[in-house]
Amino acid sequence: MATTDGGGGNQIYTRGPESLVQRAGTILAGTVSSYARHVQETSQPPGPGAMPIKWIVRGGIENPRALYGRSAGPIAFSRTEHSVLISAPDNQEEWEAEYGDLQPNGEAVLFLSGDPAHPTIKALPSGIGERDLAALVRDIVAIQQLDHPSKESAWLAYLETAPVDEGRRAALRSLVQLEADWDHLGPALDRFLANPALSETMPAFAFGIVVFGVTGGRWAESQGSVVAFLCRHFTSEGRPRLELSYVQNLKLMLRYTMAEARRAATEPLRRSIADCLRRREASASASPELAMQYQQIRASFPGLL
Amino acid sequence: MSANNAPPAPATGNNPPGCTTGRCPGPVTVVINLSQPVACPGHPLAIRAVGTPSGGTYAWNVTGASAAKLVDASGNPVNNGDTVNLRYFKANDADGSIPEQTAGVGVVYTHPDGTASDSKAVKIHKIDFEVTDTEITAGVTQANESNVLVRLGSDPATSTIRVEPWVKIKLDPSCPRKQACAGNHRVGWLQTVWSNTRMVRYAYTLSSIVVPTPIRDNLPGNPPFPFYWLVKQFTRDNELHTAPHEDSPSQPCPWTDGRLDQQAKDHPSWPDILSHALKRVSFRDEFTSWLVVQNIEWSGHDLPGSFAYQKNFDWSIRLSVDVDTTKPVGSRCKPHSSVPDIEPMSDGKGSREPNLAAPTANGSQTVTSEKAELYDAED
Repeated sequence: MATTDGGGGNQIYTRGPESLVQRAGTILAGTVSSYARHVQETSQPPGPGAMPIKWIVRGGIENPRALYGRSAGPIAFSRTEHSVLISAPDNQEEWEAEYGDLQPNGEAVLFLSGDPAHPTIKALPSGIGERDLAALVRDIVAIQQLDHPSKESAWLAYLETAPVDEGRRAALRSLVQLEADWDHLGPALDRFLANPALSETMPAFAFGIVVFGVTGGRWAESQGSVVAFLCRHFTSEGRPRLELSYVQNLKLMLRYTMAEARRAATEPLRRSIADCLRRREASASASPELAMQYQQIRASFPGLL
Repeated sequence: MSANNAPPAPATGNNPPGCTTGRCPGPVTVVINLSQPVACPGHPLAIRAVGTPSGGTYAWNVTGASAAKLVDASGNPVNNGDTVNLRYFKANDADGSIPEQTAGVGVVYTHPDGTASDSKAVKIHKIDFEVTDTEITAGVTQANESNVLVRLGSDPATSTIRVEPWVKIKLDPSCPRKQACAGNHRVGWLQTVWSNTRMVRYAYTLSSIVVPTPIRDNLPGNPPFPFYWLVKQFTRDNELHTAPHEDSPSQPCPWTDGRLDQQAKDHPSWPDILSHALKRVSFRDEFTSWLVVQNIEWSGHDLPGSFAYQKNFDWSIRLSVDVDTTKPVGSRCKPHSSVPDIEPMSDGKGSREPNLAAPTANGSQTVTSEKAELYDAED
């Protein structure tokens, strides 16, 4: 049933605002005017106490500012919105939910693509702080316009300077997509994960995207270093939620090393992962979820631990 | 072949013995010709009868394999004409194999000069499937908290359940059209939701996300009907395909009450933001997943009968969290996670019937929402 990733992919590791920026021909931002909401479906029973479930917002931006490309004066748009309680339509990506709904006189970012004379417009809300999509898009545009070597350096720098988590995630996704050199990315990630001010979701994301990269064929020449990085952070992690997330990722790594075609070549990686899992097994018994993950590892990879 | 002619007439002149009239009938005969020596499961086998002398009518019948039918070129039942098609498909629900069958096809040819009949035993060859790597990997259902919502669902990196078996198609050596026969089969998963509980309690509101069950399940992206996700078609004998299956049931809930948000927009005198706070989420779903091989041609006229059920397993997720929105994001929900209940994978179809109707769980959600007394954690 409704999945977090749209099914079958690690969408969170491949798609974010930066992929929308990359596809857009023009990006505009500004204050929403002439906001009108047409509710199409409400919760049951209907009536004054019901809550909107699906609705269409129509509006415009009188004086759009161009974040990318050129502005050509006032622009009208519409956007289909829905309560997050129900499954998102296929054309909405998971990260978009974090920006909420358009508000009267609120900010919006418009991504224009296709025929410039009759563009397809995707409108997303923007706000302040973590929801400041306009500022994030401006940063992303500036980096994406650079040539390759400078682009990698800029994303590495942005990983540490981005003011919001979505910016940090955009940096990590872009670095994996650019196949950034592990000799550069590894130390940057060590510094990144050592930052005590980091929200708890970021270490899990960073750990997960590294595993996603390795299992997707990245850093083939540096896999030993990558696994050492993963083991180092797993064995030093004391927060139970992160520990659980890391174990699930290490399970993916083990499965990757067990594929017939690479089973022999990845034997040292498998040994390293098994070694660090063993070292944390005693503490895992305190958590039923972690204990079950260990049980599964024992069942799936007999003799490994 | 056997002839069942009219009683012989007295012979006269050049007529056969027994023929006494000016126009004496020759012997009436009929012969059944199979277009292939062996029939493939689910694929129509053209069968033609040749009656002599010409001008007679044909009456066909089929015996033996109970699901075997005679049809015309459009697939409609037929028992006359010189050409019919034999079609048959019946998988063994206990193990997913397609056993060999023998159908008896008979024809009676009726001509003004007499009748003749013929019959043939038609072998419908077997197909076996070899399924390996059936271990199910379990993740978790956990509270993924962000600034605007909490999403009860899998860890972002790993699905709540995942299995990636290998399936090999093994045609009988007698199959006369191996490539086409293999290509008439595809492998994928079916999934049915048996029960769904999604209750979201805010300070003054109880909302439920309702799905009529049982209902077919699928992933977004319009997978081929009625499959759950990826479907892979075989192209040759002994071909091996992976058949991945994964699910991460998910329920997002905003930290604030959409019903009161709406009231607050329309009536600014409504309660302040704390009165909108999320208090508790109960989330439970039950499923059965079936690994199936589908006979593509058979699915055109008998969808439920087109599946060879290889494996099945029941599973469920359950997580109820209490929410304290005064705490920082990342530590608002307790307990944080739970593990899914997964029954061992069994052979064949199992005891349950998959729901094969068009509506899907994700496309059939409605929300009920009602005013409630102020939430009390002790209740």
